[in-house]
Amino acid sequence: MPVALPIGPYHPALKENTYFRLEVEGERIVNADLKIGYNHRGIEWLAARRTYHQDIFLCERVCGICSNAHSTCFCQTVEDLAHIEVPDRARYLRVIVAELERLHSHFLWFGVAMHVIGFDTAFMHMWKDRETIMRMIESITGKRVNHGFNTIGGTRRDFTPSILKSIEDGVNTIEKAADRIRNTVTRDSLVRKRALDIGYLSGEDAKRISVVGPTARASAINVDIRRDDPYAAYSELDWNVIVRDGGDALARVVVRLLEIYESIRVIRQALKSLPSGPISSDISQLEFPVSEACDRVEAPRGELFYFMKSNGTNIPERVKIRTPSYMNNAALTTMLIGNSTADAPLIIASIDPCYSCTDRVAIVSAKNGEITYATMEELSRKKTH
Amino acid sequence: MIPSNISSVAFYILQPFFGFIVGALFYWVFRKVRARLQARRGPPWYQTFADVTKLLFKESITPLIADKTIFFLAPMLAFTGYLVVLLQLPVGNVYPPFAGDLIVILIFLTLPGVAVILGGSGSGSPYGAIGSSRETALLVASEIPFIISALVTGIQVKSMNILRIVDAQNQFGPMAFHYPLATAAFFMCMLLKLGRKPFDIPDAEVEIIAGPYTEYSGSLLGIFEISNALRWFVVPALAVNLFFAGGLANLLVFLILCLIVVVVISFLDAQNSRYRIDQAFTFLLTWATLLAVIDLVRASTGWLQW
Amino acid sequence: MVNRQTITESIRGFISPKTLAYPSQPSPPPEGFRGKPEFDSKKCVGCGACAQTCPMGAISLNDGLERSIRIWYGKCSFCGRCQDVCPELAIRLTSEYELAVFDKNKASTDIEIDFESCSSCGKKFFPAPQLERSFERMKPILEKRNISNEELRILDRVCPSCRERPEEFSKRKLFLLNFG
Repeated sequence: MPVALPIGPYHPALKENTYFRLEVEGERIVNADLKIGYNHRGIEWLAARRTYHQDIFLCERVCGICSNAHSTCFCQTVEDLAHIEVPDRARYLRVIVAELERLHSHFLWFGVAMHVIGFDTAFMHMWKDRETIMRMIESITGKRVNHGFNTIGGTRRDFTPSILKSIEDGVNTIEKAADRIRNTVTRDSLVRKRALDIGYLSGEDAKRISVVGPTARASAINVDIRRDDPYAAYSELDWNVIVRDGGDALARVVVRLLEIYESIRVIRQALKSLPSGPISSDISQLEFPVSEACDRVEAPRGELFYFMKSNGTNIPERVKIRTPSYMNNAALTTMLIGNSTADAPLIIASIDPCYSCTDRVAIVSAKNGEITYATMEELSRKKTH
Repeated sequence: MIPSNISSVAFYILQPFFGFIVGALFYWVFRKVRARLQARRGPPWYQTFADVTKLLFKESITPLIADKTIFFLAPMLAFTGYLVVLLQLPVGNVYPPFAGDLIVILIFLTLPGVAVILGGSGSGSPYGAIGSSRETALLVASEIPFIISALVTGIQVKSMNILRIVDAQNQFGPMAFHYPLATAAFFMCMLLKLGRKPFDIPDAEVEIIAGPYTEYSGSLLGIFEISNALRWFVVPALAVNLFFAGGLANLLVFLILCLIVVVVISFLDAQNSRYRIDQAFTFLLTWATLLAVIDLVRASTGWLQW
Repeated sequence: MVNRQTITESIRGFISPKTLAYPSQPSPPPEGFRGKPEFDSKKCVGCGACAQTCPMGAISLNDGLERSIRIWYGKCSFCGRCQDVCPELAIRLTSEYELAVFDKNKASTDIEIDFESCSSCGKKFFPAPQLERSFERMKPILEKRNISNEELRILDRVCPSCRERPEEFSKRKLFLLNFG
């Protein structure tokens, strides 16, 4: 007789609030359910009541970790809508900041993963290395998160030669930090033991649920929006898409680790071939046509999709945002079943969930059952035997 | 019977305060060393005192479904366990008026573990219940190597009186030199007694809502914190007395040796991640017990001595 | 139980911790940091572009006998849109970020802008500095056409409702014809 374990909305193992219901028989999870919507802020409603320029800042604040992805996608959708041409320099600048954000997001994720398995020292060291990236972003864009770097038609700030030099040096430092992460993850046997064969997601399941991002690429699905539907300057740069077919948490760890190296490669190329010119096009005489447009970018967690409908005024009629964590969360129920409860926190952390991104539309599912309580962090440490 | 060199009254009044203050400072050393190894700064020296003072002034809320007696008594039990051991430990050149058996000390050192189990299950919180059951498993697994490695010293000296064990080392040399395997096993169990990684499974230090301490707040939690400060003195002091010649009857050397033990523990804590309960159980019952048993055999039969 | 990488990293961290003993050790932000916006009340012309564009609604206009512009830092997200759109470059985002106050009403900047009164009906209808500034901007264009600045000033110091009166209307038509 399965016993239902509700976990959340407040628990220490995850950084944001959500609600999991695990049905447990002994130590095996036989069924899992997910309830989101605790971070719902009504952003899409607000976006239809503010001008396009104001909406850039609103949509940026959907998520703190992938804020540049949201702002880039929003600006690109508006540029598609109104047929605005983005200058070359601005496209390369957007690539550099987007890849810096991917670096900071992956470093953050590694720290959180280490924390979930209890290796707090590695967590602190990885976040210390992440500070190099954050300071670089702060001196480039003016803020550590919610950068406000993009505007409709290009970017708001340019890179001076000293900033370019500091990015080059910073990227070298980060490469050494990535080597340190690689050593920790591959040489520490405990990390390997905790992540191997945990949270398996097969290729067919991944396709059926339509997961995106590193979660999909770890299950042998070769999809990357930067290559499949190029935006900004990605079509002019050369890098690899990392695909692994392990399907378990270790594969996701490896995919994210190698993506760090690829991001460094992209930044170096973009710095070298940065064209000169204006950083944004003049849109002072712009008139918005009545039409619809959609666009997508590869956020650190996967494919981010924006749809916009305009009615000719400077206030959009409808803004629709579909974030990657929304799709990846649906895979959690499949991934959790069959594993033991002690591994549940690591599985949930391995899809890099961002509930701030996910919760703008509420999904409700509820069942009732017998209840005993446990926390995620606790389950991670207390494996029944 | 080695006579005490301090009046009983003075000893029984001063020793608890001394143990608490030094223990709180050792706990601060641990937090500072761990923080520095993690490339951050760590708390100021008065942090433990500030925490305890604040907690003692706050209201303690007892959950509705808790067993009030057990909920109240559990912190007292933990405190008692450490206090009784504290009052029997020689501290450098200060010998207690009554020094009990090693067996008595070891028995009283299990009381805090039992207190945690009682407190967790008596709190009525499901988090507490799970924490208690895990603490039970760990207590079972860790007591065996702990007791065996401690008894090795007694068997060597052919007396269980802790003063004799310390005294014998002054002539014989530190036990750590003669019985390194038992010392290693004792260190592993010390990590668990102090609730440090890789064995901090039931300790609610990192987990916010978890463990037996979940429902405790205010003055009752303050008493748990006071016993925590006491244990950071008692456990290293016991290790130094049993294995490092009790500081060669010198208070300063004793404290320095305790400090070294604390720093080594902090270093081991910072370098490791957390074992899962089954891994910890297996580790303690195999490796730690094996080391302790080897030295037990050596001590009791007299083989392979040096 | 221990690995070499973590040990070396830990020892390096031991020697030089990466956190600051803030606030006893100050932490100046890098150049280019977007901190508290400063509003130069001498340059401000009261156009209200900042209030219109602020995504958070932190800048509010209150029109009474004067135009009161109030920036409340509680809502400000330091995005810099006000700095982007201000035509007189009166707004500048500084590096200040320690903005905590005990009284939240103190976390604001207030600017008072006088209104221009209509020369015929006396009603206050437009921010005076903005009118003055637009005259200054028109000066070179007027000079090219040999029209004196004074002429435009007389015409423009009339409120929109008075401008629709027949005598005003014809004066304006004449001016525009001269303007060409």
